[in-house]
Amino acid sequence: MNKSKRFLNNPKNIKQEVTNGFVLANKNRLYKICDGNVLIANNLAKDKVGLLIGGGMGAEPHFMGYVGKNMADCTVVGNFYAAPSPNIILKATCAVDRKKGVLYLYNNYAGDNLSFDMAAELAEEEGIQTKTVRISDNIGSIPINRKSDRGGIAGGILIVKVAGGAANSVDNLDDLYRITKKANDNTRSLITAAKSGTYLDSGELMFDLSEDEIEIGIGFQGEPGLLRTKMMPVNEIVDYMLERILDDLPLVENDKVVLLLNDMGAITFIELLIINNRINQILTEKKIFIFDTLIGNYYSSQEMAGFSISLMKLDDELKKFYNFPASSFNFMKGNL
Amino acid sequence: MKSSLNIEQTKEMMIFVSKHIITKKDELNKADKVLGDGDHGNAMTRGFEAVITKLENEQFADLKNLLKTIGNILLDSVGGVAGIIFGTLFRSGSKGIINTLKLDSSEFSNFLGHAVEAIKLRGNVKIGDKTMLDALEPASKIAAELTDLHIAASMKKASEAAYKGMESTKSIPARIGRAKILGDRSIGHPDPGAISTYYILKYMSGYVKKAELND
Repeated sequence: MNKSKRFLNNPKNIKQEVTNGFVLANKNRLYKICDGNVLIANNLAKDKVGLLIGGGMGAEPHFMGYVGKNMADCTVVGNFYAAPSPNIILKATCAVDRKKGVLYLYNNYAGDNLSFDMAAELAEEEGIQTKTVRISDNIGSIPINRKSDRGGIAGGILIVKVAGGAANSVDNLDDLYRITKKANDNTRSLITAAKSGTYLDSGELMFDLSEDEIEIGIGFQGEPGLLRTKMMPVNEIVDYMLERILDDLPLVENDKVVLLLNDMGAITFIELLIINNRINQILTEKKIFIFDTLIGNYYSSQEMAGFSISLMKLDDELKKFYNFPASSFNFMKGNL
Repeated sequence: MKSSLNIEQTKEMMIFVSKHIITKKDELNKADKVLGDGDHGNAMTRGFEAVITKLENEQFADLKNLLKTIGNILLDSVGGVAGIIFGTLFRSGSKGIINTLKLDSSEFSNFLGHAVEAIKLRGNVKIGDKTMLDALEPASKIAAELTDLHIAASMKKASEAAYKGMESTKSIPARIGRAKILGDRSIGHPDPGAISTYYILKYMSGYVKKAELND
């Protein structure tokens, strides 16, 4: 009962098959190097600061879905839930550096921090300047006074979007770092799950949750969250989640936000629209303006039955770069 | 003059260390089965075999370069978190070296001191987190106090301190890494990385004890 049926071949070949499948669907957009461990956007603009994203597999379409024009220049693909190795990150860094340095943007997890910091040291020895922004939008289990310990989830996509726009506009790494850090500081997310996803290779559940329970604020692999409770009407769940998000990200009347409502893998579009309905009621009441709404599957935890709500507060600068036309497989904006 | 190892001897010492680490493969795998994914022995063997191959086929003109090369090889071939940590041990340790021609007790202390600082920063760890630092930092501290001694005496004391530190990891729960989820269930088992760290220092000391040193 606990093992889920999955459409796979030999689990050893998953990464190869996945990156192949992705590149074949993106022939005009990107190519791979290092046996598919690195995916790089075609025709990188000259004289620009590089934007490198990456992390372990398991949250697809994050990160590969966000490589492309005016999005990330490349992604480094680790194994399942494992950071990519420093040497591969270094190769990717060299591939996207255009003598203006490279920004590393990745989820704030211990293994990734180690690998990317090591890669940054190796890059420096190669004469390539790097800076780092760690995505830390998940307010689930860690209070704001320990914000630097928070992990990254779906809100990261909004940050990548802003950073991608900025990377193609600014002409130095410090500016890209500043803008990307601001995007991270202005973004909050929460996940609520009704059912765990399963590990792709073993088929085992990632965490246990009773049939009639949900957990609000859970981490993407089941790290303990804010509240485990009996199932309730979704409006009540949304109310609780938004209250926590707005506690953490103070918004005032006439503030502008981007809303990203994300399916963690196994809930329906119908449910997402019901959730969106409630979010709009609350934000309208508070006179907070939803500048843009994204609804869909942007960041997953396999077939977790759950959703995440992310809000990014926009100022004029973030709005400008968020609005920049962009083209990646899972995020398109405007006409390019 | 304090006793010291020249570059050739330091290289021989590291080949000696590498050959002995390899013999601990099963022991390290077994220790890692409880706290990790059970392959620390395989990973360290892969790394130190590569170190032997490199050192046996290359000459080094400077101590910094020798130690940094070892770090790069461990980083590449051990892989994973252990590759980064043991790579950092030698890579960052090499940055502490001042006299690039001979390894005496002062340079040994410089090496360990730089390694400790870099690992603390990189791994965001401190003493008592049940990591290799619990073996390395006590060794570094004692080495810093013994820079007037001969290298053999300094290394012996550092190795003893590392042993005690490694033993101390048995009594504490893991705070970071994969073993974190075990919590108190990790008590009673030493950290595999601390065992490796102890062995590295133990066999450094073992080599130096027998070597003919330059006074």
